[in-house]
Amino acid sequence: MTMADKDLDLMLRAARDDTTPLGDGLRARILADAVPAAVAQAASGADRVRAWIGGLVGVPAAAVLGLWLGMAQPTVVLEFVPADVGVDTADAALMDEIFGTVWSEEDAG
Amino acid sequence: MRAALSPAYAGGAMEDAREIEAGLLARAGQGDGAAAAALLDRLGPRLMAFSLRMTAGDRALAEDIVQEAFLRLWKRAASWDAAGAAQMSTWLGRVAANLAVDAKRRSARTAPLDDAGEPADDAMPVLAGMIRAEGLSALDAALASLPDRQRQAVVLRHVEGYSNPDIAAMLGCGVEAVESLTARGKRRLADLLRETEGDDHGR
Repeated sequence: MTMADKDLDLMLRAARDDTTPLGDGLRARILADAVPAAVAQAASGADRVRAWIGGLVGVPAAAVLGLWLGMAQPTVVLEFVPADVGVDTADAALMDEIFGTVWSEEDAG
Repeated sequence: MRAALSPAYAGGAMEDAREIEAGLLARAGQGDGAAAAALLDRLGPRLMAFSLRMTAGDRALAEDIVQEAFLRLWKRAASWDAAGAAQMSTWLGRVAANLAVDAKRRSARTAPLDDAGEPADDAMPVLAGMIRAEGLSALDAALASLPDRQRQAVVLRHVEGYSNPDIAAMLGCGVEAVESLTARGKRRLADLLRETEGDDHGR
């Protein structure tokens, strides 16, 4: 009897169920990997929770502080704002050239 | 014990397997060594057989592949989606397949003449020697004597039951190339096994 295509197909399909025992050394190495991986998972999970809490508390706190600073201490804010925040003549001319309108410090507020 | 690895497996038992394996992995992720061992014993032997076949019986490489595949699984323990698309055994099989393909690709780059073409005509005596020396089955010895890509394509298609587009993605080639590799590989495999049979009968 020679190898027919059908026989080969059956042989290949049967090979699907094959198992090969893991050696003791390999088994030990794989299981040794599992513990540090679990520890790393736990650590990264805790870090993620800490980062979330930081974000949840930090963003509203920063917003409230900004509002308080702007409303209660305007002089502190204005101290850091340049006195000349309007559009100077050269900028106005450039804007005019680009947009075809008249730009002046009054228009810009 | 039969542990599903390939997409060829389907059915109601799959859902149970998913839940059991996901439960074991979750416990392993929390540091439960017994759960990790149970999961390893459930999926490891099948993955080892697959890796050995993909690497032409290279035990050291197959062991590295199995270890790396499980390491990646342990790292996903906390985020594993039991209801997700991939069954754990299938996921491991894909990881192992990709690792095996990459490893063989790297070794081919360092030894370009290794298996660039078809096996030599005297592959049959080599095959008989492999069966005797390595204790391989005739099928595994014949598979091991195929060029890497032919063997990988035949194993993935005809043993594991992956679709041609899936295999094309794993091997990094087109679907037509996979069809050609599997057809040539299977033809060569049949020839080799026929010759081995003839040789056995001739004695």
